Amino acid sequence: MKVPLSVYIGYDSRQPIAHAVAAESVAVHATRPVPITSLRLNQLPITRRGLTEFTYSRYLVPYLSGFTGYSLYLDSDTLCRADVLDLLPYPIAYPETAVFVVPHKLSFERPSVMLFNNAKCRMLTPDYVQDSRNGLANLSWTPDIGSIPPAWNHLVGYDLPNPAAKIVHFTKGIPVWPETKDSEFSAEWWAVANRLGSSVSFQELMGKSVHVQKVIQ
Amino acid sequence: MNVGFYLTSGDAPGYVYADALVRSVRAVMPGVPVHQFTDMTSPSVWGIDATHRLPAGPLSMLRSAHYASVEGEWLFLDTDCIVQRDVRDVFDESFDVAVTDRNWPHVPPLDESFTASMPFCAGVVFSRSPRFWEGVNRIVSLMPEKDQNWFGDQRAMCRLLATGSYAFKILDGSVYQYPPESDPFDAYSPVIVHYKGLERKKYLMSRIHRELALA
Repeated sequence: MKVPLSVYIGYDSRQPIAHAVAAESVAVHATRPVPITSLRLNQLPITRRGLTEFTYSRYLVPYLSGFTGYSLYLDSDTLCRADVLDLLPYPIAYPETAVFVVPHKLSFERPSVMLFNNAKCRMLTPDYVQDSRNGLANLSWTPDIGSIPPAWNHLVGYDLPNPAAKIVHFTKGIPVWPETKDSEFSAEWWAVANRLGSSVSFQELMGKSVHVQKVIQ
Repeated sequence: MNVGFYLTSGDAPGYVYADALVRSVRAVMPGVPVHQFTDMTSPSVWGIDATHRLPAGPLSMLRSAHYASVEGEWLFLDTDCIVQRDVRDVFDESFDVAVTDRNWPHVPPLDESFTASMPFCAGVVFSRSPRFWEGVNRIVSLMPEKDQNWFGDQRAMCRLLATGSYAFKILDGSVYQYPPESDPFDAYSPVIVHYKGLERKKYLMSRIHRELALA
């Protein structure tokens, strides 16, 4: 069975844990296998960067998807708490819309979670994204912008607390620093981060493995 | 297999058509349960096996919600259909949903943009996937009100199938959903006849009167 949604997550080499948590949280809540791709600038056909390594590379998502199907882009400082496949009805209901975002008052936050109808985003070629004359964050590259509910890009520290948030965006910083450790959803973020660094005992996982004797020797 | 049709009291002529539909199912598939999907207050068609009720809502929303609420193998039909032969063997094959194309060479061609956006007609659908209809229902819920009140579910069905995320089979529309151009129509004997559109309702009523007279 084909899954018509792929997920791309920004990657910044200065903070790999952010990406790891975001990716794990997407995978955990998905009800079907969803391909998840890291946007690593050194692997992409552009060099343009901004405050982060993925400031501009996110706009390559439709190109990287072959301009077919639907793709979800997430900033690395996000925590997913819902099945991303629940977003699919939006581009199917509105097939002429190129990109769906949460229409935040802070307009620069809109591109931090984008749901692309890739076939409608053919203008986002590597040359176009690389060209510094093209401001991309204002989404002026398309007139066809749709909305998804605010829960899909909940801005911690800006939006009112929302226990039903589906994608939490730690836009003021993931809760790894003293300045941000008490953020809304901090405990949930840490639960995922701790799980990523955890393992059961050697005996529990490898005890019945053919490698045990070799290890003991 | 079960047969289900959607009908509320807002569609009074539909009760006449549904009566004929039920009799046709009984004639060619005795023992197959026939169900009506409706709102909380509309009457049931006489002689059916079960009535499924949900709170009233826009046509496409309520119909897709009903289809999403039932498990097992289902043939969903519009009330203005007549089943002429046993169709249970369709379920011998593996699929989530089986739909019919618009292979109707005897009918004047439809507008290309219409058929491009809705290549399949939801008047006859074989289904074993409530999840598919949940998806349709969620897509319809995002559509403008006019689509929710008319064929938004058909549009959503076609678009969801186009994503390739469900296994579907395409049946020949000239066999499984034949729209006649007269009554009686020629010797060709389709499996399911669909009297879609106002003009064909006259043919359906003509057939109903003729067959009742013979009964």
